[in-house]
Amino acid sequence: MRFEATGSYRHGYERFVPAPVEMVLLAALFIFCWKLYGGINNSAVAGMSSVVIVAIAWVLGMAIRVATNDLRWWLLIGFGLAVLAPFLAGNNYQVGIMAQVCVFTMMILGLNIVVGYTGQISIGHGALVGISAYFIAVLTHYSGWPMWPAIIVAVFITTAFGALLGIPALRLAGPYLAIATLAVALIFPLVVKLDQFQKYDGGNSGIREERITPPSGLDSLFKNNAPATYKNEFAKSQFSQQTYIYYILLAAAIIGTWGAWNLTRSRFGRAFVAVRDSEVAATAMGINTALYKVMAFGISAFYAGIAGALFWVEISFVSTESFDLFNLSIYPLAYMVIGGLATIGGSLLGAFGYLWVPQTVLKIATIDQGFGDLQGAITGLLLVVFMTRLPQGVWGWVLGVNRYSWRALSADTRALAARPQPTFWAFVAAAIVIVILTGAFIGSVWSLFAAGLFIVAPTSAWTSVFAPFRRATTSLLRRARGRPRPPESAPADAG
Amino acid sequence: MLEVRGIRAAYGPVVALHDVSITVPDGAIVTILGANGAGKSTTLRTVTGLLKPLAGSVILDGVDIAGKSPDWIVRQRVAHVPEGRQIFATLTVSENLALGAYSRSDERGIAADLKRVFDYFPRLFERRRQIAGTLSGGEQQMLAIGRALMLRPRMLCLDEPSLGLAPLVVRDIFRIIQTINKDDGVGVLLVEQDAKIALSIASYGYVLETGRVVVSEPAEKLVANPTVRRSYLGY
Repeated sequence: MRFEATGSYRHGYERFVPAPVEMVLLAALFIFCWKLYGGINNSAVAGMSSVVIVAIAWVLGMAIRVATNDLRWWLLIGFGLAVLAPFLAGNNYQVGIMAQVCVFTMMILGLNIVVGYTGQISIGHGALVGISAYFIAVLTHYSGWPMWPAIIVAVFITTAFGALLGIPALRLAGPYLAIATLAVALIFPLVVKLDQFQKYDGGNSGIREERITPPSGLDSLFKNNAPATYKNEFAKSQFSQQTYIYYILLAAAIIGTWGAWNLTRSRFGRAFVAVRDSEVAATAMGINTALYKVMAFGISAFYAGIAGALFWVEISFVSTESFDLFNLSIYPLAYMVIGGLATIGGSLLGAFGYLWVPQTVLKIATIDQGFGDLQGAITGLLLVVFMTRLPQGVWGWVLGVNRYSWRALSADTRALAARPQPTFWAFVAAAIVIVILTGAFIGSVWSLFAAGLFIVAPTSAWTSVFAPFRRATTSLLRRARGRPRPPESAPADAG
Repeated sequence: MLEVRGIRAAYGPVVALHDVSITVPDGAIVTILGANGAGKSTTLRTVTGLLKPLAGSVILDGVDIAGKSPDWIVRQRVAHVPEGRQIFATLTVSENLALGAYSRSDERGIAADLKRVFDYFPRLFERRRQIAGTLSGGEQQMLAIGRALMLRPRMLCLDEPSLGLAPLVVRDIFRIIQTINKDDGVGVLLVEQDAKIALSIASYGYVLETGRVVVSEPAEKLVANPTVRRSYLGY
């Protein structure tokens, strides 16, 4: 799928400046340097190497911008990485995280169908995932059912319950619907914890079962090909089990993504968007809006039910803690918005973000020393940044702004070489000087930070920060040259 | 042939229509005039099923459609262009038109009607891949009418197509409505504030006041009617 380039990088040297997506890459490099320079005492050397690293980041940033021109490559690379992940990761924890990404891919896809496409807010989705997982747990643990029939029944029940959850949507909208669905998310753990249900659902202690094991053929295949980091037989069998589970989840997530892709591009998908954009017009087109709202909730709950089943397959343990409001209802909603509302790609990115962002940031900030729950703060900050700067989310970026072709890049390079733009080179020179100076005096991390600010300066909010100064300067210059200021607006029309 | 017979309709306790009877003969353009709150839009809403009348009947070619669900009425090919255009702002022009044919399944007929809509509105063809929310007001109104035509309607109900548009654009749009009416003899029920332009294309007109029909006459007599001239034409 090749899209025509649109967006704001249309003029001047700004096209040479990495767009905000590349900032993520830059940030990763800052962190790399932080670790790298841990051992370098000579901060001048550290400052100089920062220049090199920022240059590399810039080149990579441009490469990303060009590469996003054709999304098929990313699909292929993503698929390849997802399949090879267990063998690349080197430890079971990471494979487990990847499996969780599959779980939340399903959940966020479902959430996006109801919130993104149909425009009906739901904060109760954590409860739906929980209901599904709990039904499977209770049926297998207390009633002795085999797992797969239990999953089918649980998904069916969750879908029905989700459709019921859609009924308030017929009468309520916006914040009122949010509160109605929020109530479900709040009540669910309380009901599970009720004393009367203790003997059916394990109460506070939850339910634990044995995780599924791979069939012997696959088992030996995985064991024989386990990465070298798994040393003994026990570690290898752990790897084999985790990998088997991961592949089941991956297959489900891929089928789910494919299904959602087709659904949203079908007549149904268009009708969902019609209900969101204008209920009156949707009705006038002959769309039964009530039916479609309930259906959106039902389909969404079906996805949530599958997510709950995958959740059970992955960890085979449920407790009310796993399904609390923030972890399973609010954060996935937030990361869905960050990934991109009403897009399939955005749902996938949202699932990644939900698991990787908080973990990575906690790790970087090294932060076993009592920072407590940073996740809320990070998520909130990201959400504010995205709602104000990029309401279309990361995926909107990738599609809209961040594209550039090799041909345009080389044409621009030639144009710049033929007619150098002083501003551009002034920025580059200033960035280098600042990196070296700050590197020498205050340390490498801050020098990289300063360089990063300079690099993103022309593209991001800094433009608007500097705009008043620039206007003031131009008007001062104009006055100094003795030219009259142009009138602010045309004089009022006398007629 | 659409016949509205003595309908009474209310929003909760507020009665909006007392006893309204309107007839739209086959292939005619009939307009409903009146001040704000007279019940013009309400009449249209009861015809298209958005509002269920408390009493009375709406007869479409011998079948009573009053109180039926909106989607059933749309399947009888009664198209509704709602007030304020109400296009699907985040979808493209083509997708908007595709939604107009939502209740149809004859692929070939839909393709033919799409071509017809693009013939009426070449502007929409030029902009078929554009996001509808980025169209100008006039283009949006064209899209709203084109979307209704995708149903291949036998009745076209238009709710204030002149709303918020420049006089030149309004004239264009009304000319196209007239052409559509002539080309395939579709009956048009037109609710309008701009009495002058509405009466210029209509063959018959009704004037509503607080939920009652106060004048009903052929358009050319209505233009000459002193009450109408004073209240709605301003001269």
